[in-house]
Amino acid sequence: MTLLDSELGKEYTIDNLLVEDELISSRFYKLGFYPGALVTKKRKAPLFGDPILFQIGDSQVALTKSESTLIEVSLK
Amino acid sequence: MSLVALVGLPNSGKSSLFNSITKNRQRVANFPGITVEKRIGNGEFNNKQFQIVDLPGVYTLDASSLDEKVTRDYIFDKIKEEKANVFVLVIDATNLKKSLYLALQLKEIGQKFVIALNMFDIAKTRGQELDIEKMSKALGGVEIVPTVAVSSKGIDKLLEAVERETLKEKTHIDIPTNYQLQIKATDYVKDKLNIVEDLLTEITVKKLKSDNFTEKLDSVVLHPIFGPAILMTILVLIFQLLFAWSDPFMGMIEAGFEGLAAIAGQYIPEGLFQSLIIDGVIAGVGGILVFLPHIIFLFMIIYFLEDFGYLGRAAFLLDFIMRKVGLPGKAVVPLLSSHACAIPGIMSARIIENPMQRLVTMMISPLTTCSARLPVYTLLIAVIVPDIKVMGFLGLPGLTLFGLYMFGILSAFAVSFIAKKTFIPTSPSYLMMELPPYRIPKLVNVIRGALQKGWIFVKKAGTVILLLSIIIWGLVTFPHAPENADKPAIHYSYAASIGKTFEPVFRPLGFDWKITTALIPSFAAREVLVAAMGTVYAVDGEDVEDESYLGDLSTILAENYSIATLMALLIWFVFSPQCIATFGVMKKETGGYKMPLLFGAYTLAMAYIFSLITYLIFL
Repeated sequence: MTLLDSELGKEYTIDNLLVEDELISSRFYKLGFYPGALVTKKRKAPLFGDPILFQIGDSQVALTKSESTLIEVSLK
Repeated sequence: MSLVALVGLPNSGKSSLFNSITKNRQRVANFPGITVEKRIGNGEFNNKQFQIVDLPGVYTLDASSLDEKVTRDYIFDKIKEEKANVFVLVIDATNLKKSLYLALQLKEIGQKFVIALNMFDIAKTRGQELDIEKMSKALGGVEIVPTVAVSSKGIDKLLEAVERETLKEKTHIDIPTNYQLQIKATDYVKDKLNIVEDLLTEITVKKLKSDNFTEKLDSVVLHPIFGPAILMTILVLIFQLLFAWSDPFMGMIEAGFEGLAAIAGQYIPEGLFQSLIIDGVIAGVGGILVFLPHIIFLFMIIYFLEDFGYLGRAAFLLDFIMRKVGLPGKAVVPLLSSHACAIPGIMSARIIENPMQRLVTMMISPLTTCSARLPVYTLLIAVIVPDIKVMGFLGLPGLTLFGLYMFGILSAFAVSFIAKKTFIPTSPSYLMMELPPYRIPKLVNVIRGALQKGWIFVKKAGTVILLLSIIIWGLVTFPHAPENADKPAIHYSYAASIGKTFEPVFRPLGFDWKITTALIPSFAAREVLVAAMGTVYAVDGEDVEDESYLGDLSTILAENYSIATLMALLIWFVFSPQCIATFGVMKKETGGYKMPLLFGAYTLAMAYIFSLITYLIFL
């Protein structure tokens, strides 16, 4: 499953990034999204639940719905 | 120690540290050739002066944005130099992991640096305990000094550490020529991240607890209903405050320039030179500087919200709508500010990271209804729109004005949408935005930042504005009216010749040569149109805000022009770039003449097309 389908408030482990472009994957890495990292969906924006706020490590990062489909996760 | 550079992640408190070290001895310059700001200041340690540079925030040494490239290039240039320069790596103690990555990279390329472990107080209250000695050892003996930049704690210790580091020998490391490529490779990144994880486990005695304050505030600020309500309230408040706070200062500036003109009138003998100084320089520059309070107050509000952590939240709430028209959520700030004045609006587009989106935002912001349009709208609405009530209580003139505001913002969105559909898709944009924990802003920093913005506007945009003001003055002044002239002097000027030359072009819109002539001085600032129409028709009276003056002018307009012409003129002012300051600031922000010219061309084209359509509808 991807981050988009993850449940609110549950902790997931990142398995894989579905990104070819190195620039984008490096941006994900810089923000803490890399295989093995733990991530929790925290909130959705009021309009159509897009973007979504995630807790990753000690920081909070907002991703759009389509960005969150680029990250494969499994329940911890 | 002669030169100290500050590096660190965005939001690590670098700028606060910079302010604490330099106090007021700082200035803002641009990095050569580009518009990324470089903040340089002077610090003092043991009675010796040193220079300090605040570099744009980076996560790692492989750069993707313009800001990041600036920092990367600076770091690699400094390494090549023989001089022993020392960096201060500013680390947010509440966001260690990512900072450690950067620390490892600085070590790897052999740069001498010390670490300012910033926001140490917050980390402590949130229960974090670190083994700093272990951390220092693990990073190869780097000195680590806990600091609280906002309250200037630990600064002396930090500078002592920098001094010690300066005296150390530089270890020369041969950086591989393809280093930039190497550090982008997935294996390199994974390897480094593993080292960081191990390091973090090793040095952490007690883990950081989650930030309850941010957690609680976010549950309200980002709430599905309260969130948007709070956002709307804040936006309306910004708009109101901007007008309320700026008003008295604008009055003072106007009075000041009037006083200056009076003094010049006394001391400079009557004649051409007096006219140049009073009508050209003082009136021209004064007409633009009157917007300085808007700029300063707007940036005070923006910096306050940014330091507090709200700007990112606003972007989060608005991202969906803005994305649909090709703008980032943060574009709401420049768009809203432009309702006061496009100049601070364009300047505030810097908060947008994506260069293409920033450019589009700058290009569309001036379409929103700025305060300089109000005198023109008010005059024309008074002539065109009958003062009747709609549905019993809504005044039609007021509704028209509201409609013009809506028309402005919708036009801005439409242009952005069209730009997105035509040439933007080639550069997809990403949100991927970190929301920092809330922090109480330090007012000194907020005010200092805003004053710096104001000063940049005066200095950089000022030169262009001065030049253009003089040109416009020349156009309405030369050649002089003949001795026995029976018409106002402007009828004999170059402005009138240009107006008459262009009349055929504007005839389809219903404009006569008198309107096209009055449009020329109005390029100095939109509100000048009211006075310029008065000049062309030789309306008596000194004060253009005087009611009898406006009444006379309204009567003249109503007698001489059809509703269709006046409607077309009204719509002309929605789009037309009648503001040299906008060009000045756009040139400054984009670093060239290309974008201001493109902006001028597209807005003039839109003004012409929409005025033509309007004229034909009302004919």
